[in-house]
Amino acid sequence: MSDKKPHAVLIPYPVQGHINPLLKLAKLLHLRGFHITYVNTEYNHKRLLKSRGPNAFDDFIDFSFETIPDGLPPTDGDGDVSQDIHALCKSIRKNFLQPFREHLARLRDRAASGLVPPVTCIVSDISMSFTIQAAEELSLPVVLFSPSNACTFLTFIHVNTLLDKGLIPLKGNS
Amino acid sequence: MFGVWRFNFKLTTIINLIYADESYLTNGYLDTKVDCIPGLQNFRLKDLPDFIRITDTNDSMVEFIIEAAGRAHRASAFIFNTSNELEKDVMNVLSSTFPNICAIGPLSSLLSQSPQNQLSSLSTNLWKEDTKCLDWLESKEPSSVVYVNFGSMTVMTAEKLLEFAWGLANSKQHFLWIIRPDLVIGGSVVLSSEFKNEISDRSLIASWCPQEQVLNHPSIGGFLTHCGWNSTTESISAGVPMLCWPFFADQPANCRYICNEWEIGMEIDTNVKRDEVKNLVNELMVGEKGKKMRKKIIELKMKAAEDTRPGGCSYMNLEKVIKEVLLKQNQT
Repeated sequence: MSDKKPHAVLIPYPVQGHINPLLKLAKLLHLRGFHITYVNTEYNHKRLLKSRGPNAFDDFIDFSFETIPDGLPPTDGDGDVSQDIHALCKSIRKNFLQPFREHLARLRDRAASGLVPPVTCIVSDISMSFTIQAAEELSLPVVLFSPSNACTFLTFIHVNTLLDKGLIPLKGNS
Repeated sequence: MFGVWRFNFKLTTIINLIYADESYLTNGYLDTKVDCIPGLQNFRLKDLPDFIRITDTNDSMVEFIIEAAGRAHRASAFIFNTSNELEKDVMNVLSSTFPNICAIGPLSSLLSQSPQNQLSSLSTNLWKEDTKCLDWLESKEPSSVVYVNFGSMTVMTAEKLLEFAWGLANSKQHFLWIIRPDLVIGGSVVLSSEFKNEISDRSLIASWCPQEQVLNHPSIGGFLTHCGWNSTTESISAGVPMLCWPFFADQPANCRYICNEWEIGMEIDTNVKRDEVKNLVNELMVGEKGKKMRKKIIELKMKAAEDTRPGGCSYMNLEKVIKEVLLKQNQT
């Protein structure tokens, strides 16, 4: 395996509408010669195996799916439902950096054994901002990807403007 | 295929988007114009991503957003699944704040113009896709079917589901409706035999589907959607006009773009009623407005294809990010 092959680690925000567009980007990078590691949560990966088949994500050349835990308690029933966004956001802030870091460390060990090319960059969903910290620790470039419109990001960086102008919090009648 | 549709529901999620004092939803406050965000023209509070609909400054979602936005400047680059054509003003403003920001979309157009390989058929749908939809569409006339899908997160009451159901049935149009197992809040829904008889010769209901294949099928003539950004851009890439019933997140903003800026769709009231659904579905499929919107969205489709082919703006932006950022380590 050539040491020169670029290796991108991609991580979506763990809901359907974010996983699919980042996969498109992963395919585009793969077509341009990147080795891809695509990191889903264990919960979502389990659902994918259920919907696509137990071997549906094996044996691609230079493209592998890996998992990290989402830090949430197990759901009732068959676990085939969309997760609570607020609970996910809280858990992302608290629980995701360390397993992601550990995952990058495992990839470094595998690269040292010649099993994969060394990781050369991270492409992260814009809502998974803990990845910036992980990238800085390893001096890797990190590109933030937004699967949403640009207007949403513009609003995000202006949340303080809306607060300062008194437009939010919203005004009810009570 | 129309057995008893009984869905089991889990009261998950999203329900905590319901706030203690909801009078702001009806007291007109959300109609307040937002004139303090450069790049957004004629937006009202109700058009902004709904994460800003807070009644308390300690809202956990806002804390999440402020934290992410505060770290943003440390990223090497930002890429968006949008295009300069679709969001010119916003991209201009963002580019002046962040020099390393660019639009690389719509990715559905970019990928569909890329070479095929072993990964082309790889999909990450969390629900099992029902591919019989595609066979069913084969038997339909061109542009004759309304595709109805509220995405992966929308939930609604059984009453609202029935308004959509009867609106669709009374329109007499053909429709393919995706009803996710966890779409309806709080119990099971049984669609009556009267309804089933009414629609049996012109509709198909499935639990999930390969959306892009459906949207690109020549039989599809309109899309009743929650207007998530993926659905929006995929509908543009396929040239299919929309009816919008936004639910949450960025969907109100997408709806604003679709209905007011690009004029490729019409909005259904939050408090949906069957007659409104019937009338709008007919306007979309066979009315004059529908024709105009179809023409406009075909123009946007062509522009999206142009932007995402070699030499196009989004295509070149992706190449630039790859070369200047993602491959930086390989060049040292």
